[in-house]
Amino acid sequence: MIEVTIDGKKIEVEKGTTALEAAEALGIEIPTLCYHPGLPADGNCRLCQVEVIDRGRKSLAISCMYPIRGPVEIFTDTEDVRRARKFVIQLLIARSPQSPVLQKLAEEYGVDVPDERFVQKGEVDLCIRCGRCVRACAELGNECIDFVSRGWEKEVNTPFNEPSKTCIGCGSCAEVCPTGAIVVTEKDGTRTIWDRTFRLVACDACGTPFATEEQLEAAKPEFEQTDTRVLCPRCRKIAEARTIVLLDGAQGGHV
Amino acid sequence: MEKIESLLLITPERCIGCGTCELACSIGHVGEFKPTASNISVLRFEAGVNVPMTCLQCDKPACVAACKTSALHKDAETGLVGIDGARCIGCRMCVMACPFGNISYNAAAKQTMKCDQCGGAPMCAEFCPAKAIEYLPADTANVQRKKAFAAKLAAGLSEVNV
Amino acid sequence: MHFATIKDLDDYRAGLVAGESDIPRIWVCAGPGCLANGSMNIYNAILAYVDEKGLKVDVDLKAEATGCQGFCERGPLVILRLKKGGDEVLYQHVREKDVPEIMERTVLTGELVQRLLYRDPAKKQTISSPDGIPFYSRQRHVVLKNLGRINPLSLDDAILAGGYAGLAKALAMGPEGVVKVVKDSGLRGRGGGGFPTGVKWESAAVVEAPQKFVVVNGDEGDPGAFMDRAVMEGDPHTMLEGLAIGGYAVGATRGIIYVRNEYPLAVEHLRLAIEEAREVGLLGKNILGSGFDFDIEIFRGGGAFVCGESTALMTSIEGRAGVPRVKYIRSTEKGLWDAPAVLNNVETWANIPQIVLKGADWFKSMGTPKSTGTKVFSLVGKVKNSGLVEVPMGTTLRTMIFDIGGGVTNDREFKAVQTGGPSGGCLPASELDRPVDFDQLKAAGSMMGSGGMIVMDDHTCMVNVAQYFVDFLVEESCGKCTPCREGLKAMQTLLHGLTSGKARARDTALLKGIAENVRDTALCGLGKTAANPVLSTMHWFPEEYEEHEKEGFCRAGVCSGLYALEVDPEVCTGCTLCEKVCPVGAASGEKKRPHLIDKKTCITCGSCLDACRFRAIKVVRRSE
Repeated sequence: MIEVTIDGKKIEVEKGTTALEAAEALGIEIPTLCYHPGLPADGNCRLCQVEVIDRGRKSLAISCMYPIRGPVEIFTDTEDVRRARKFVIQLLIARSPQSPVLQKLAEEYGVDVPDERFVQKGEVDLCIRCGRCVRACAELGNECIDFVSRGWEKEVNTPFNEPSKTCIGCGSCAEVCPTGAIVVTEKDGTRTIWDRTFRLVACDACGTPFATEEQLEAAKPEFEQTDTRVLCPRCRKIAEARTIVLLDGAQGGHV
Repeated sequence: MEKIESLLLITPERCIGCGTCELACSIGHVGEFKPTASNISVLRFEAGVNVPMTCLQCDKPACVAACKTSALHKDAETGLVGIDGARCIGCRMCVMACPFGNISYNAAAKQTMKCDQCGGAPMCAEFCPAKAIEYLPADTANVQRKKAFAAKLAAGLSEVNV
Repeated sequence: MHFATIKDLDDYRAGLVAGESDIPRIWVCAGPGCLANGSMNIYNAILAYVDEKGLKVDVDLKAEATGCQGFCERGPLVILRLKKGGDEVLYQHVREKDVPEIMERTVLTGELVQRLLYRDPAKKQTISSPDGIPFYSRQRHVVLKNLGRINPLSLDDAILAGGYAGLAKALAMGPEGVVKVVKDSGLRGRGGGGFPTGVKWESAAVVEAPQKFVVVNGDEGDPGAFMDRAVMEGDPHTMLEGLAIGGYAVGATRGIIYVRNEYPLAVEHLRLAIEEAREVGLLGKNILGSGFDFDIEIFRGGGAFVCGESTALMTSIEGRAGVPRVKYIRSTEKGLWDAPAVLNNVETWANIPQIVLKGADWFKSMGTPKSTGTKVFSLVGKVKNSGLVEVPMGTTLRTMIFDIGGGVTNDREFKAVQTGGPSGGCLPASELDRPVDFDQLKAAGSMMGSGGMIVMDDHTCMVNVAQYFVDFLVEESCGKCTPCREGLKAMQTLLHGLTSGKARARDTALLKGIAENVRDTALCGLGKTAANPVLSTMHWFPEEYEEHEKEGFCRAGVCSGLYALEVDPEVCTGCTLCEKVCPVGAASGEKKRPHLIDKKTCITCGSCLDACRFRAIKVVRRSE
């Protein structure tokens, strides 16, 4: 265990704990965008900057990836930290001025709205290129989306901007998006995401469309099911309860 | 299972279908009386037969197997299937995978929901007026009872180890 | 032939030395510059001549050519040596039709072809030996020692020049001994970072891992830089030897060369060299009977500038898009496929064999205390003698640009020198006496980079230069992190405003703020240094930014529309050249009388400014 000091508070952490995790354990909040606890950290948005003093040397670090390996001192709210975070927010909001998430951050950090030369014109673009969607899809083993192009033109897309063949329509990408840039629409028993429309399978019991065929295929249990009907979670619960009722009835005659 | 000190036991025969457990669960977890947000549901059948259904904390949980980000895990200490909500990426594979429909996803809150036994003091058991839901010491007799209940559920499936 | 032991190799080398024939030798440069200037035609003409006349001439290069001989400005170059140990003769600007004369007069009768010799501009006399030409005599060749003197496709040539003797010595020293000598030599990474190579090796050597890698960064992407290309094309074995020594020192059995696919000749030469080395047992299992197994693979890069960044390069080798990763964990711990990897650039690896062979003290005898050895630069831009230059660290910019480089093209005024590639900086005339080493360049706000050196004259606008590099970096940014992706774009917007006269008050200050923030917050080395072109030009040439912002004036006469042109009647000779080159008929006048430029018609394209030999055309503010 290593003792570190964060904003004057001391905490003992295991070697390799990130600065962000250590700060969280102390209840110190650090703003993040590209970081998601369920995904491998990538450190690309640069918002979670903190100041680390390691053996007398002061530097800015990305708290979501900075591993604590020695008794360092960390500051999460210095002038340099605020300046760095403000800069990141300012750049992001120039690209996506309509984003409520960024607007809130901008207000919190007192970021001036950049002048019109820097503000993206044309279509609303809420994507901040943090790649949480890409990492989520990869974690699920589907890898249907990735970054395409580079630099300023970088964006997330399916291969060749065509509907992905491997997508199961689970919508995790949209779920993890910090700015709501990925749109999933459901209507008339279909779900559309990344330009692909999936037919939703209706529950054999109640008739409610509840999941894509691909999702059900991916979640297919390893065990054989005696009830071969496709049931939504709610009806599955009812069916299971009914099993009990029937069994009890057979044994005790309560029904 | 040895390490578990207490068990949540359900006796459907005793259930009067009042739904108090659903109200207790939802007020405990989301702060309002909202049966749809409850992690326990009472399923009511004809002739006054009711079955409260909630997570069985399976020994080999299908939901945990389906989770790719380790947001769900089987706690070796408590035997509970726990959720680390922050790690959840909303793929809903657990919802698809649970054979009993005992885990759900709240899209608005972006949270997976399942029974957590209220951290050791389950509200449903506390407020159940008919002792249909009980939180009892994990002695041999109670473990047997739990197994018997689980076996009944498993009868709907085969080869599943609950 | 197979070298089973160190003695086998030594014996073979001794045999080659003894068998070296006393016939005339001709080395035709086929470096990138000379090749483009038709040196292969010259080479083929020589072969044809030999065939026709039945001469006994051992013409170097069986298929292509020797590597770069360095003096690209004067190419195509041909070096002749009439007998073993005799003086060398350098012919410059050789053309195919010169071949019969060279063969008949020089090769057969020993006479010199005066018009093909280098003429010293100061002393007004010809110099025949390359060693006598200031361009070469001020250099110190360590990395480049074999270039232009061996056939890169011949293992015999390499062995004759001492190749693999360093490896043989290393195998006898033991891994710790090798790490120690490299550490003691003070060698620092030639790719730009300047990290001590021995320290890097040591940190990888101490890691316990089932698999380790040594990697060559041959993704030379800086515009105008071709040092590594020259080494890979012209002397592949030296680099392979260095890599094998590194593998032995750190305990790696696999070496990977990452080379950009735009260097097809380098790829080909490396491939053939690896095959040949493998055949004779200099690569593969149990090298020279030492028990050390080592082999090398080539990975071709797709041409992204960012893949020159170490972590992006390794990501690219792993088969994913080449984007850098956060480097809190060093590559020597977890680099390639999570295994420890030692990455050095081509020049660094090429230094290794001689350091092992001649020792740390020899290496330290060159350069400065904290930057030992030599450094290869590609000297380009507005300099008379552009080419490949290797000098001891600590050589001043003035020596490089004026003594070796021969000064500014057309004797115009020196304005700045850009070092370190796109993320380097521009240094002004007041910095000319600065000795060039890692720390000195950094202190001046620039950097060593991989060794690009671009000379600029007074007809260069520093704001425009910054814009050029920022344009390049916007194009080449991988876009992973916010500061580099969005920040560079914002810098680009401001720079284009400045160079087009649309700047607003305080834009320069705004630009500086963004640049500093990009430097402080970007993810990788490229991002952190991407602001250098702006920050360094702003530091050394603040007045130009101020003029662009406040007056919409470009003193260099580069930014179109931000200046007017006038003829100085005192200087103008009435040669009419300006009139001839002016595309819109704005310049006119009688022959031998001062000309005039009609500012209303003039579109400030700058053609006359470039064309006037008397510097009679002046850049003035538009209002004047």
